[in-house]
This record gives sequence, C-alpha cells and structure tokens, in this order.
Amino acid sequence: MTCEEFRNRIAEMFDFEHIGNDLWKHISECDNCRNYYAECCTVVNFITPKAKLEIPHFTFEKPCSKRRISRPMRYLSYAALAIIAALFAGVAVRYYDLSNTAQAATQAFGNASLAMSEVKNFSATIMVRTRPQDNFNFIDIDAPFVEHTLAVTHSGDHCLWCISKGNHHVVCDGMAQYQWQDDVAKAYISPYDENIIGIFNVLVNIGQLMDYEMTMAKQSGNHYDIARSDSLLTLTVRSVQKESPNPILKQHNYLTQFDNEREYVFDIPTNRLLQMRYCIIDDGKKQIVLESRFIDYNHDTAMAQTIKIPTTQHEWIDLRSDIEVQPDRLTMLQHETPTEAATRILTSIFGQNTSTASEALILYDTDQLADTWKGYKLIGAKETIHSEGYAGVYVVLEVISPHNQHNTIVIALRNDNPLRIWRIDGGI
Amino acid sequence: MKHHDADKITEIFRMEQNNLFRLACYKIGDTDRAADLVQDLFIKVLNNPDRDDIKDLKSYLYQSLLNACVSIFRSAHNATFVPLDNNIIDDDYNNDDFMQEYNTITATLQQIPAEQRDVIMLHTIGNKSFAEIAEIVGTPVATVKSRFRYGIEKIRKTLNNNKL
Ligand SMILES: [Zn+2]
Repeated sequence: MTCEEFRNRIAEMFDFEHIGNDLWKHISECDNCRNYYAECCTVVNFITPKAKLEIPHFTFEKPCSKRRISRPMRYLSYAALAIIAALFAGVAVRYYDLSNTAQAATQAFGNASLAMSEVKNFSATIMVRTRPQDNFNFIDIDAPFVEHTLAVTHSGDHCLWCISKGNHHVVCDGMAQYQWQDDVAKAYISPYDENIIGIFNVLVNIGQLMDYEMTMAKQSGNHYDIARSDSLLTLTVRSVQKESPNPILKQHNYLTQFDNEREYVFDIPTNRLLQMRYCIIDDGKKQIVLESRFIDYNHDTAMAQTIKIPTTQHEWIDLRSDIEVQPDRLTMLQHETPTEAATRILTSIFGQNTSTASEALILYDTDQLADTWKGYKLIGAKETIHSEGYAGVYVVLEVISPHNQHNTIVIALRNDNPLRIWRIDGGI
Repeated sequence: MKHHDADKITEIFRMEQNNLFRLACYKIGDTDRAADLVQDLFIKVLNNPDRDDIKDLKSYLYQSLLNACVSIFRSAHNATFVPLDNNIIDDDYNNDDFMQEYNTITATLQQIPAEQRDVIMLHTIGNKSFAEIAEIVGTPVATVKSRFRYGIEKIRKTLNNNKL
C-alpha cells in the first residue's frame, strides 16, 4: 500500500463496520502515515461531544416486547451440539503448534497484564452494540452503538469504579455498588461483589483480561496477526467459534457460536493497552460489537468521575439488607422453579396486580410496569436458557399483545440474593 | 412493501432515541427543543398513514430529524449563540458543559460544507457506520467516506494553521 492509498482510505480507520487490516499494517511500517492518522484522531476527538446529556424520558403510545428471540433461538441447537462435541473433544489429546506469532502474542499480553497491574487509574469510552434501556450485560449484533464511559481508580486495597450510559449510572466505592437513573426516583445499593455490570466487570479488571488472552495465546488454536511499529503494536486474534471462551463474549451464549476477531493496540514504551475492538464474523461479514474509543490513563479524569453519588436526590433502596417475607410464603418462593416464578410474576403484572409479586419486582417501578404491559395476556413458558456468564437464568415465554399478536419475550431471573428467591433482572 | 406495526416502530425508536436526541441537541444547540423534536418525530411516524411504504424506518427517522433540525436552525439562527451565563445554578451544570461544547463544535464544523458536516455528525454523534450513513443520506458508501475524509482533512489543516 502506498501512502496516497492510505490517505484516500483514512475514513475506513474510523468506520464501525469495516477494518482494513492492510491499513493497520501500513501505519505499523510508515511513520508519516502514523502521524497523519494520529492527527486525524485528534480532529475526530475534538469534534466528538463529551458533555453528559440528560436523556429525557420519551413516552411511547404503544408498549412493545423488548427482547427479540430470533438469534438465541436460531443458535440454540448449535449450542447443544457444541457442548456434546466439547465433551468428546476432551478425550482426545489436542496439540497446538506454537508458532512465533503466538509466542509474540503471549509476550505482548503478558507485558500488558504486568503494566496494567501497575496502573492505578484509567478511564475509557466504550461503544457497545446494545439497547440504551437494557442493563450493562447485553450485546445485540443488530443494535446501534451505545456509548459507555468507564472510570476506574485504585485506593489502597479497594477498587473504585464508575460506569455510565445515557442517564443510567453504577458506581462502586469499594464497599457497595450504587445504581441510579437520573430521571427515576428509586435507586439501589447492592453488595460490592454482586455482578450487576456484566461485561464491564471484565473491563474494570482489564489486567485479568490480558491474563486470559496470554493464557489463550500459550495454549489455544487461535490465529494471531501482529503488526509492529516504533511505538505501536497491533495484535489481532481470530478465534473459531467455541475455541475461545472469551470472558466478554461468553456472557452471551449466542455470541460464542460465531467466529470472532479481537484487536488490541498496545503502546510499546509503556506496554499499556491503547485500544480494543471486538468483531463477530457472521456469514463472512465482520461486525464490530464492542470498541474502545479513548483509553485514558490520566489520573485526574479517573478520580473526578468516580466519586459523584447523588445520595440526596433519590430514594435509595438498600438491597444488602433484604425485605421481610412471611415464613410460609418464603418457603413457597424458595421452592419455585424459574418457570413457575416467571409465570406467576408475569400473571400478576398482566393482571394489574403487581403487589402480589412485589418481592420479585424490587428493581422496578411497579405502577409503570403494570401500565407498560396493560392488555397483554400470558400463554405460557416455553423453555429455560442458561448462559455461562450470567448468574441467573432466562425464561422464554409466549404472550399475546393488546393488538392480538403472538410475541415471544425472554425475561432474566436470578436468585443469588440473601433470601434465595427468584427476582426479575431484565427483559420487561 | 414492508409492514411496520406499532410494536416494531416503538422498538426501533427505543433503540435509536439516545442517538437521535444527541444529534438533535448538537444540531440545534437547545436540549429542550431537541427533546420535543424527537418526541414529535415518534408521534409523526406512528400516525403517518403511509408508514407501511417507508422502506427503511431507521434511515427515515434520521432523515426526518435532520430536515426538522434544518428548519429550526434557520428560523432561530439569529438567536443561537447565546453568551454563557457565569452564574451556574446547581443542577444546570450539564447544560453549561453542553453549551460550551456545542459552540466549539458548531464553530469548527461551520468551516466545511453542509453535506460533509452531516456525515461527520451522523458518525461522531449519531454513532452510525458509513454504510448506515449512506442509507440515511442516500448516496453510495464511497461518497460518504470521501465526504468524511475531506471534512476531517479541512479541519485538520485549520487546526494546524492555528497552532503555528
Ligand atoms: Zn505511508
């Protein structure tokens, strides 16, 4: 590639969908174009807004079923097959030739892991294909990019972090997690070790992610490409479906059914991770599902973003101390299967009688919920799906909308609370 | 012909609402009006009797939003650049950050032609890929990419000249 070609195609370096590996290769070898690219990044950064806007609450006349089931269902049978295949594969001894690129990758990830363990603070802008309303644990290939900001800081033995998307925020002060939305009165305090931010838990512990990649590079059948320049090292890892239980992708069962490509850019002088990109390869087409925009190791930025908890502006509900439930009822609730719980809870929501399922709806505004699902009828539960990275389970249910349409909805339930009862965690 | 039922429209809208809202904010420089604009857009699409004839609903939403912003910007152009108030009230700090940034970004993007500006804003604020932008503005992807490139190139040169 010539420098002129590179400049003509500079836009591709900023695209969300296509990444030209030849472009990365060129800047790893050409100082002029690398500087040109850096200047373009500065321009794009300069005109990209960073102010936090309070997203207004838009009202929609008609409610909708939020989760589409098409993709997970489509790959469910493949998932079952893959599990069986994995059981048999365990018997045979697998041998992977460690080529030089795999060794170099091991070294690069090892260096980064070491460097990240010394980093006290960082912040990052992470674009994820998901839905603005959903929790922090959901990637949807068909959804648009939603911007997330993450700031992490270490203080003594405590890891403090803060994550925001739109008006939804979660802050961990090392002892508890605080979760709120700007325009919603109810806010929640959870135990510090409960995983409520899903994939972002991996990004908070980015050194561990590097450890994982290092281990994979030592032993896996991944394919590695390395481009090097004076100061940048770009590592591209390609994994065949199911070969790589990547800690981010494995949180979604259906994503591990695709081949994937993970790109990491390191700063050679400091060994730090500068950029990362996760692509899913679907029918030969590369689709970015997660991309970091700016990983910033500036101390002040990280600190400033980590500490604002609006303690006086919300009605804080402390989930660390649990609500009281009558002993008989508690026994009944603890013995429910997820399907039974989901059926009972949805029946009470659709029947405009949310008070009979209040223990399960602690995270929700029950009046709003009853309003959203007015006129829906429950046909029944179809099946239960377990996903490796998720602490709860998903229950697939069939409902009839007020316009008499059959819809499939998936709700997330979890019982890893002190009372051990099923609670709705998402999907409604 | 594609049938868009109300559930489908609502779902697309929920997915795009944040990007639409942010884009409107940085197009017109007024968060309240931007909120109204996005809300109106939803009602308009839902009540549009011809909505089944719309081929690509997502692109249609962005086209309509951009058109609406142009008319608002034109009618309010004289009053856009309001000097910043130094007496910031407590819960207004977001808006102050926003206005500063809006003024900087608008002034920077004023140097380039409108079609390059739209492509850049759909990308940096609307979080759209070049393929999606091509659908929205109705030109080939190659054109979108060169508009992005020319726009960035022009701003880069200006910023460099200012530094010297
Ligand atoms: Zn070059």
